[in-house]
Amino acid sequence: MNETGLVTKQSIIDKARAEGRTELTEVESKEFLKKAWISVIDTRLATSREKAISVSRKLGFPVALKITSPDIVHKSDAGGVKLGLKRASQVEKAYDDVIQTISQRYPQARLHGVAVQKMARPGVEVIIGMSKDAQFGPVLMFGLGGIMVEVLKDVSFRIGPLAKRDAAEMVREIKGYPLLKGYRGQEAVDVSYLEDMLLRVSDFVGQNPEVKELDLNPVFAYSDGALVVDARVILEEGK
Amino acid sequence: MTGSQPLERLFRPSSIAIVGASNYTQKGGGFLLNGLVTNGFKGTLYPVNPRESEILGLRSYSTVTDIPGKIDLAIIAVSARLVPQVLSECGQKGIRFAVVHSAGFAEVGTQGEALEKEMLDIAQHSGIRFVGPNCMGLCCTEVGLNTIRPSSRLLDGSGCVAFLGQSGWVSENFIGMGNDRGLRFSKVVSVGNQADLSIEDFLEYLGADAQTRVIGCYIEGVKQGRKFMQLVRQISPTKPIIVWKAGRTEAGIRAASSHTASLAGNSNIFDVALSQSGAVIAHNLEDLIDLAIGFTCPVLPDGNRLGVVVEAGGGGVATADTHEALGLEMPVLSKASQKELTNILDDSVVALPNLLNPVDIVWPLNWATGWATLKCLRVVLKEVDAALAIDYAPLNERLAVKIAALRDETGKPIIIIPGDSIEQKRGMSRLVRKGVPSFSIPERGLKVLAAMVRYANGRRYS
Repeated sequence: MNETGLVTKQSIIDKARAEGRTELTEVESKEFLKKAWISVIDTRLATSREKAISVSRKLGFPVALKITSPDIVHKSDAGGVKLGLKRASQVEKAYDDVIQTISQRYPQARLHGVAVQKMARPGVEVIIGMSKDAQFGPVLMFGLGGIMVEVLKDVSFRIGPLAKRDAAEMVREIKGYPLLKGYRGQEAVDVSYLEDMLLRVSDFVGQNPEVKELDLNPVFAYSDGALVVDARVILEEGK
Repeated sequence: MTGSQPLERLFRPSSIAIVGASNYTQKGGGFLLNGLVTNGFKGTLYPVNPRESEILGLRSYSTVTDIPGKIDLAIIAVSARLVPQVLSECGQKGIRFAVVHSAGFAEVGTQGEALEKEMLDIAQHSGIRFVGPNCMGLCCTEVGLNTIRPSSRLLDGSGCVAFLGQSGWVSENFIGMGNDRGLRFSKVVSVGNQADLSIEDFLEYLGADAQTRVIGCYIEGVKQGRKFMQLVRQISPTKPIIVWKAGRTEAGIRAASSHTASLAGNSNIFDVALSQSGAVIAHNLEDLIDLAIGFTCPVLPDGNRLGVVVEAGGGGVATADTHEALGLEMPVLSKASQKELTNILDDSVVALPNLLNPVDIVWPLNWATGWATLKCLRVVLKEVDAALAIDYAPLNERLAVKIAALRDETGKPIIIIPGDSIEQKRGMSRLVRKGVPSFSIPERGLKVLAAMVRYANGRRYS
């Protein structure tokens, strides 16, 4: 991976295959999604403390740092995430902390480096995903993120590819829909943007049959758009 | 959909060989032959059994190849191990269609699977398409073909409801219970193991079948999920397809590592596929029959506004309690309509009742004729998309004709709940035969009406 933007979809897949992985890292997943014109928060890989600082300056503070390793799925639980870093000195310390913690706790883990991203401005958390059903193929999912998806499982499904009407129904079908429409003075989110994002994800799935599962979680929904803040792409077993 | 025409002779054979027929009419070939005889099959029947010379008064043959005339359909009810041999003789005889009633194939394990494969190879080699194995076969009421429920009064007039069942029990009971409620059928198929002809094939046929207006299905799993969805999407705008899907999705979601996959694995993706392609979802056998009754009504509601006229206060309250959760609206009637209702009821009711909606007419003095309900319905229907009435009148032919006429005049569905559903059981099926859905309790009628509203809405957007 490099920062020149010359990463191709195929190079991402090839690299994962060569390393015997079916799971793309967060940085790879986001790069992949960006190719399909899905709005993803700018996230760069830093392989040194100095790089982390220069990337942070480029993106603008505050930033978040996340460990990038194909062997670590639950980055926060592993101690590999630092949020809300406001200055270069904080980034420097956070970088060292993260690398040190992970190296101690998971000496076997392959480390790609640390992902640096600008802290996303808060929005309503939603989840968009895809998995494959043995009888019907790709199934797309939409729901409210965070606790709503984990505890209440307030999600809707449609078999892909999605028609416009499917996307509209998916968003409106969840019980938490009123939360998207603005609740107790909260601003309503741009629902049509979310529908459009669902359609783009549906296209992405159609164009990339090698993708087996997909989690965009969370996606921050705003009154003027939406942004994928974290993403996981899982590939079919290589041939 | 000309592709379905090739199945025409399967449903409308002019001659049938029943292999494994016997004089024992309680089971197997004898049971099936007896069903064909008693249902008045309009064609020639040839029993085949090497040990008999005459069965149920018909000449019996040793093998199908001994039969002199042309045979359109073979119904095979012999032991599983003999089926490949019989099929190959059918091939020699030039028979193009078979129903394999025999059990003991893929449903019993590896050995049976091998036998099923052998049978399929022979059929394909001989150019035979077959239903089953392990099935109860077919009904086609127009020609008196009925091997599914031979004892049923199935043929009291051909109907417009078709049924596909992946279970003999469900198919038999859909016919039996449905018939008892007033449903009449066009074609019914008990599909069995679907070694050759599948639910998808029959769906395609029924989509093009002129006699079929409503299709009911009992499904445990389909072999070609996307083709199934595509067919439902294609057919359902013109013919409602009501599906009861039992059991979990067969293979389900593959091993999950993402959040999405684990959530999907715990949901009923089949129901998602059904509603996405425009099918009407049923949850059990009674639900399936209720919905089929609703959709045989020749008109659909244009919207979700419901008018209610009751002679039973409790039923009115139950209706008012239920309608909202189902997405139905019960608008308050206009002053003009209330005045009209007052004029109608003035002399005949004990005390002038609630006229807002539900209209509670209490107990008009000349209640037996049902005229008060009819007159009130005519007023109420001006302001709503469908009506439900709870009435104590005997549901005789005269009243049934009048209700059906009011429905045709207004172009709006009318649902009737008798005050006494035990006493009026026959009257209820009389109404159903005229396309006036009738149920024992209002909640069931409302549930069906809500499904009709959803279906009509979906159709407008597709």
